Amino acid sequence: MQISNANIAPQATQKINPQPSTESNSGRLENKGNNQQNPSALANERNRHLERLSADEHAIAAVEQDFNTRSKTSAHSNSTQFSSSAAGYDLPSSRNQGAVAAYQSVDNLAKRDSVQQVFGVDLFA
Amino acid sequence: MPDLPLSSLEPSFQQKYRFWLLLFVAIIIHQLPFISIPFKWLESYFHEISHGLAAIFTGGEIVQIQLFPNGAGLCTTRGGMAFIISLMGYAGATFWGVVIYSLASVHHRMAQLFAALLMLLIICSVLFWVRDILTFVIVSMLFILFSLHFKLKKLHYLQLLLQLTGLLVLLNSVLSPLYLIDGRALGDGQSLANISMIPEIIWVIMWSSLGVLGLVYLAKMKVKI
Repeated sequence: MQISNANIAPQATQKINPQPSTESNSGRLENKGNNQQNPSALANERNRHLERLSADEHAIAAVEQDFNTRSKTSAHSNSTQFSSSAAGYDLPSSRNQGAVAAYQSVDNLAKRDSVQQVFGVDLFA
Repeated sequence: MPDLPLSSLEPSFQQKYRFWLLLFVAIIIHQLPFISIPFKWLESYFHEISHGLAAIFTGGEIVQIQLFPNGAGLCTTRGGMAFIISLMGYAGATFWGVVIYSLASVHHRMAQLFAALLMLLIICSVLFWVRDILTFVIVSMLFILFSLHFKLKKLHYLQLLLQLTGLLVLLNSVLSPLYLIDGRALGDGQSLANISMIPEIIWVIMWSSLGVLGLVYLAKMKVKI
């Protein structure tokens, strides 16, 4: 939230200075006069403050939402890690995995050959 | 020689040096940026159709013929002898160039008949082997090119134009194999190298030499006539 010092300064001066001089009275009158002359300007200023405040509220809401999303994602990844680590002991060893992959690659090779025989075409450029 | 007047025994300068004049014109056309494009398509078409016919003659079949605007082409076949099919691309284009020029030189009527046969071949290609719009457009333009041959009122001009077409196809078949020397292991030369263990460059030299031999043959044939 942004606060403008320009609006607070005259009021503070009034409180500090209980016996105002003529100059200060005239100043107050002038200030009063200004306030009476420009009520719309004051209203605009107030609205501007409110807009700034509302924009900040939006930003805060967005940050909170982002934070919630992140916390949910991290929680999910933690649970996944937990489940994978829990099932890790059940997986075949890396050596066995290599053997299975080699076996499957041979199987795929045979399939590829059969597909080439069925759909086998040659390209000549 | 068909265009010689019966009364004259000595051929005119144009008749005597027709081959060289047409070859000069073909070289000029080959250098022109836009005019040469349909003739490159024509050479590409004869190249691909030669692959396809070789596949058919060796027990295979043509799946698809594709032509591209830059003069490239692709023939997809199934079955047949890969060596013969690879060999016949550039060799076939040379063969087509020699045949077009030779048959056009025999007689005006022969030129007309041969142009009709070529149009029939193009129609068959469209019906059976062309499966994409781009190739259809290119082959259609080749069909229109041959149709323009027929629009000529004088058969003499049809003969001249066919001879020029034959020379342009032959000239392209001399120069096209040289594009294979690009450092990439692609194309018919590399396919033959994989099959025969003979380096690609040998095949390139052989194809270009075959085209030059075709030109020499046509030049000598002209002298005989």
